[in-house]
Amino acid sequence: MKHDISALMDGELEQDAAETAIARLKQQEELRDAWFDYHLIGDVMRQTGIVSADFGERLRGKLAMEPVVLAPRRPLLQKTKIAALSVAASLAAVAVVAWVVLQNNTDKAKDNLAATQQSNAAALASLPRYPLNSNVNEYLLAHQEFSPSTTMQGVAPYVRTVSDGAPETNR
Amino acid sequence: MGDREIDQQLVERAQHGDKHAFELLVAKYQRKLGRLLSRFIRDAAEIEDVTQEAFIKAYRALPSFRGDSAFYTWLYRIGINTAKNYLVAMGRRAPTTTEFDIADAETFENGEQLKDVNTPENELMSKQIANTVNQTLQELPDELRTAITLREIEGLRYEDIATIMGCPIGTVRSRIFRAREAIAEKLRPMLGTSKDKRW
Repeated sequence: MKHDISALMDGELEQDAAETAIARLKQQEELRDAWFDYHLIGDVMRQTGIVSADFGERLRGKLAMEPVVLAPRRPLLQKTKIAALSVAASLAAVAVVAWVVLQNNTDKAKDNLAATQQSNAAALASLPRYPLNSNVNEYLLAHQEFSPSTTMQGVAPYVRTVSDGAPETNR
Repeated sequence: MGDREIDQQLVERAQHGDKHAFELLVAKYQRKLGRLLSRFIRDAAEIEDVTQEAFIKAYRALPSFRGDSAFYTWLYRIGINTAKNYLVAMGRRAPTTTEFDIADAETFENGEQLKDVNTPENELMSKQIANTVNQTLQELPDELRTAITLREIEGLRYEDIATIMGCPIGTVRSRIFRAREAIAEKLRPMLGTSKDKRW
């Protein structure tokens, strides 16, 4: 584990490993000693200076007299809360827009269907009435090759030419 | 996780009642802060007193630290203000902001030569520690000495050290650790345990 403390103080541990190492620093005195020693070695090598031997003991005594610091977890909570609210607001906005769009589309579809039915009925009513003569059909079939639509492939020409155009109500 | 993130983790733990976490920050910055304050306080004993006062003030102010700046920047600012107040209280002239400000503090680490902050009583101990570190360093195998020197003196990242030394990053990590342990092994009889002389 000291291996990780060495890498931790160099900023060379991944997030998870670093958090584990920091947590273990709290639990194991041996690791805290290593943390102290390694920093001391680095400072001596850089000639940063050495404080007196009882510096730590004196400061620890003063810290022991201090009440334990208990700060609210404000930054973390705020960040989490803001993120959650942002997601909720986004979802709500999407839901509202989707509902409005769907509502409009449903109403329009109903209107369109009604309008189509009405226009079909009107169109059928306005069609001229031809006598239902079987000879006409035979004639049309016999001469369908002269229809302009015969250039098209498939059965569409028959649909066009054979339609008798009689209103449904008369069938 | 970078240096600043590690400090932030320790600060957050200290903010929620973990005094050990604050002690780790003290262990990390006590000498740097002492060296910084030695720029405007001459007496070695006074420097240590002001350094201790600065750490206590920082501990009390921890709830207000939100991480907008790096912890060491915040700590150095407290240290400088504590030193200025101390000098004013002692009837001495405090340096103005233009003479010495936080920007200086941030670049101070690689600045002036060490000013001796040892009291006469501790001078022998300090010399012994320095001699032990330097002597053990010289006795290390080349690859260990090079790795720890590139890290501690040049401040290079493992990746860069690996490139220079032509070895994998894992080997660099191992060499630096072994170098530190070899030196620490020699220091431990002098330092005792954390219950007495450490940090």
